[in-house]
Amino acid sequence: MYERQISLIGKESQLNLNKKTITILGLGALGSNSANLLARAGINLKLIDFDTIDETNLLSQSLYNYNDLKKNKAETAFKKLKEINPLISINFINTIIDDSNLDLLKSDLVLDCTDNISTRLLINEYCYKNKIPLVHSAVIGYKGVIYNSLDNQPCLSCIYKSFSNEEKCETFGVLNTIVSLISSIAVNEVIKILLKENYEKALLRIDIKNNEIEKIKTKKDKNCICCGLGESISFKTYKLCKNETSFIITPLKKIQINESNLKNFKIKEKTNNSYLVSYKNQDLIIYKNGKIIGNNFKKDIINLIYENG
Amino acid sequence: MVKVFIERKNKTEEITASTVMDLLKKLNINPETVLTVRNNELLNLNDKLEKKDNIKLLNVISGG
Repeated sequence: MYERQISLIGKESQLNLNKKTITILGLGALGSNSANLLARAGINLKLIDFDTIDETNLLSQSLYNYNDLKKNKAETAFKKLKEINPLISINFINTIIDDSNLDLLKSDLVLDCTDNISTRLLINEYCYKNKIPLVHSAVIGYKGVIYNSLDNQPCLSCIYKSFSNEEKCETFGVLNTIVSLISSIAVNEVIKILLKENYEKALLRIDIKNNEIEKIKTKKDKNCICCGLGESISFKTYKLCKNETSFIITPLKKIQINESNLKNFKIKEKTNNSYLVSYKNQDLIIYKNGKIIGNNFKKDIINLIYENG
Repeated sequence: MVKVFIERKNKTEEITASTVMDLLKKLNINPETVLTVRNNELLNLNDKLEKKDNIKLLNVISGG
């Protein structure tokens, strides 16, 4: 099956690819297109998504058709890919990734095909800490980006900060041509990384309306919440659900919260281990062990809590 | 004056700013929604700006 690829990369590299397993997180437009290419290239796959297929997905999610409407994306992709290449190992998991199940990402590489920054930053932190190469891909409108985060590269949190009012393909639109292009380049980078070849170091940003390709040089952010050294207190943000803007903040250092930390907040209720507080018309639950649950978090709120002890 | 191209508005403005943070504040742009780029290099919020810098504020892309 792989003869035409072997003539370019060699038999040893092909055998190497056949031994690798990558996780594709998100089986939407980028994920389904990438999975198709990766399966045909002979790479074992772990597919993770919780979503189901609707009619609007058929524009750019190339593994699905009208007979698949309302079916689960990960399971449907699994069945299609098994027919495309029965020689590889494929697993699927119907779930939302959050802080409780990040170990599902364990593999030789994670391909980020999710649709929101919060989940991207969550998997970035897991991959960074576990030294798992992360290939980030994203699209909207006529544009897309690819970025490889591994080795000493700046991590994804050096580039993006979490926010909740993102432009979504559902509302802003996306062309299937940019999806196809970005998927192809991302898969090409995956293969280079798996084969320990020279991979792209810049943030690649492509605009197909004007046929522009930009290579943006990245640099480490000393205040990065994941790999930075400048933070006095580092923390991680977790998105709980795709359709809500709820977050859990868990401090990495052991800390104890008491009312002195909350002097900038109005305490509405308190229990043995938590406070319900209000800040600028926003309610937060703050646990005495430093865990915070709320909506639309801003870094200044977190600093107010952690640094006012 | 710094020359700044704002992708969201498809418009270039000239403005006096000493750092990236200062620039974004003056333009009333949430720093989390853009990548700030100078000479094809990503800038951090605390990076200083020079007169005659050409800056691009590119939208964060996050769809999948």
